[in-house]
Amino acid sequence: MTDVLELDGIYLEYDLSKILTSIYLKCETGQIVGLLGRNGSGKSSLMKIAFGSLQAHSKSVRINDVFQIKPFNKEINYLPQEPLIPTFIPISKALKLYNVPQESLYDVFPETRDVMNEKPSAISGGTLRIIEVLMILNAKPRFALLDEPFSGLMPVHIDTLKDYLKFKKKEKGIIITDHLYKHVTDLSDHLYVLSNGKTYPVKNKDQLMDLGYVPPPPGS
Amino acid sequence: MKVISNIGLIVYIYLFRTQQFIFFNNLGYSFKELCIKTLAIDFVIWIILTSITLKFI
Repeated sequence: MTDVLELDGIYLEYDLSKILTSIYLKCETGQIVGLLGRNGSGKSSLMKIAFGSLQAHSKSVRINDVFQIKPFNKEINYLPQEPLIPTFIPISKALKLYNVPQESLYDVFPETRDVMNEKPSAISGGTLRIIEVLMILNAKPRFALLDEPFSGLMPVHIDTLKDYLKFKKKEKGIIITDHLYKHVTDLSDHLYVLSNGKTYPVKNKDQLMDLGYVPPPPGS
Repeated sequence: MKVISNIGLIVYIYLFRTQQFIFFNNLGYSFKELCIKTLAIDFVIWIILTSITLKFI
């Protein structure tokens, strides 16, 4: 059965500056939905509102047409752009709390085996990011919101992670945002650009130029 | 003193450590819920230890 996460009717303003005004975003299990936008356009705020850690002036977050009134209802997991695992919790303990078997990480990134008993402060930023992304993808909730999952990763790891995201989307709905937009466009089944507080569905890459997200090719 | 230090701790966490709560939010716990449960356990332990200490004074 396909589950559907829908966000709309979201209104958010800071100091009379309207951040989010006209939002519609839909993600089904089995899909990766890409969310692009300039710095400060409200991508992270939108994800936090969907997750429930940020209060909007108004919002409608629905799963299978059921309003998600109570935040943190274990239907949606969120990976913030900052480190997720608190500095005082060893990796193995964090995985246990999320009910994620360590072996599920070894299969994808064998090098994670060496750092299982370490605390996040003792691990390189890239390795920690890989562990956090895999932890979110292997946790139970049906939807995952990934805010800059590729930050700090070397290219070969990005490719492995992209393959794994394609594999995991069979059982999850994934919303992803990252400034490495080519990876996001490669992965996404549906793409939205967030601009001036509104979401614009993107059908082709030329629209990214029209919306001012990517520069026109040289000489055009 | 105990109440003041606990309030100070919560304010500090709220202002400077909120980001780390996303980890627990994913597990279904809100900041408020975690604070209430932690403070309740902390107070119970504090009362038990205080009463034991007072018995031996």
